[in-house]
Amino acid sequence: MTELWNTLVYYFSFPFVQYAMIVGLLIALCSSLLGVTLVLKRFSFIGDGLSHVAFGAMAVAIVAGLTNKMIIIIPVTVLSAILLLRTGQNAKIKGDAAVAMISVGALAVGYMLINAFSKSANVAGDVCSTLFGSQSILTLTKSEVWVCIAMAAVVLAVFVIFYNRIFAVTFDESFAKATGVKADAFNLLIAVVTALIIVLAMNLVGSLLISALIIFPALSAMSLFRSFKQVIICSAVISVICAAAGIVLSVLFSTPVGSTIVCADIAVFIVFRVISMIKER
Amino acid sequence: MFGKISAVIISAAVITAALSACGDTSATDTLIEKNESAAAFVLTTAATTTAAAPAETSAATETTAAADNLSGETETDDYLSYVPPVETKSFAEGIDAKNGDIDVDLTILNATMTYSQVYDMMTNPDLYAGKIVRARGTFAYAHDNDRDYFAALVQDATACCSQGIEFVTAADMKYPDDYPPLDSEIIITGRFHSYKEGTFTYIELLDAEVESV
Repeated sequence: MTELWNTLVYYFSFPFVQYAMIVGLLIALCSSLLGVTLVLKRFSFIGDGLSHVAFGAMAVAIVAGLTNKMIIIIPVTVLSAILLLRTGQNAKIKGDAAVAMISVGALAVGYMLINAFSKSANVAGDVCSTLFGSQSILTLTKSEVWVCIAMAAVVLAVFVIFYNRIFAVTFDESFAKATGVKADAFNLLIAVVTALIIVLAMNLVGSLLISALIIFPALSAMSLFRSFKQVIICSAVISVICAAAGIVLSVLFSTPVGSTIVCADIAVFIVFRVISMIKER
Repeated sequence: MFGKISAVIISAAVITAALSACGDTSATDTLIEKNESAAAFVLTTAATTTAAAPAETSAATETTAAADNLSGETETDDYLSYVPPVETKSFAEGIDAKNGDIDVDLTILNATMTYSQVYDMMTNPDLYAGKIVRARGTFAYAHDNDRDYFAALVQDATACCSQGIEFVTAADMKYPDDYPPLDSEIIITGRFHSYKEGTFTYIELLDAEVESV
């Protein structure tokens, strides 16, 4: 056990492991805060759809040979979030059908582009690390960490400043509208912030596992707590602890980072559900 | 760097634009605060059952997806029992992989750490210039532009990503007679060097010694 601890301490002396932990915790915190709202508003699947769009955008950036892929990924994902929400109200193709269409469409086009036009010798590696995170979180540069900190700060600030209005829009849009809140605009804001979190989280767990980061902590917290504030706090704590545990375990035992974090989330979800069932008896 | 700053500016601009459309909501804030202090809003049973049910369905789907992606082998061998030597000295931003005469010994790290460390060496080659590096990988050979390239391929734990460390042996060796079989596991030790071809930077170990594992 002491040797394991020494190895862990030794590994954490490497800058890239420290960067991974900082970014991982920030992403986990941001995603859990919005997760509660998204789950309650039935926006869970929008997160999944947007993550696939982000994969498609990243494929375009890879094919274009861009060093900084964020220039394409952020605008495309944010635009898709806006389109999904806006057209969802008026368009002929609505709701889950629109999300599914954009989701699989972006995935297919992205994969085709990478295979057909990528100059990289390791297409399988590119796809693997984009879809499942692979080692991406352990290969961050210092400037990427700063970008992540800045974006996480923006997301946290939005959530803290507009907590009351997000709360109102989440539970009762009619009430919110009646009292002067432009609920549509706040829905749009939630979608935009979700898009930003998804872009951030691609480095941590990959685009296919992002939804888990958003959904599981929220559902786990809802199993035991009832008030909005309690659920938000519990969700944030669960998400941060699972991310930390996942990163530590994956560094120690060489498991894929994203999958390990999600497995930790699943384990906590099962434990919380069991506790909830016992309490209800 | 400019691109990264512009990425932050774009995201901030999008959020600002979205916020500017949200209108004056001070009345709502007051009402909500009153309601919250009078009787804490609770997640009603209706909200939980109607909203959470579909999410649970997708959660189950994610469970299956996550389980399917855990096929990567877990290494629980002697890497875990490695204790770094006491008198190690770091030379670059806290990197401390010194082991005896070797400045960066990648053979004492597990697969995840090795891959990440090699990636760091590729992105920051100046930090490692001239250092003695030892690495374990599978032997690879290529012939291009009338030149022989020899490398040790280092894979990540999931074996989907790999990076090559080229090497040039100290001794005059003839391929294939003096080299190990292709795809066999080797340990190379040599002096770190990087060079550019076009827009790409490559790393190599000069004056290298090759050992078959």
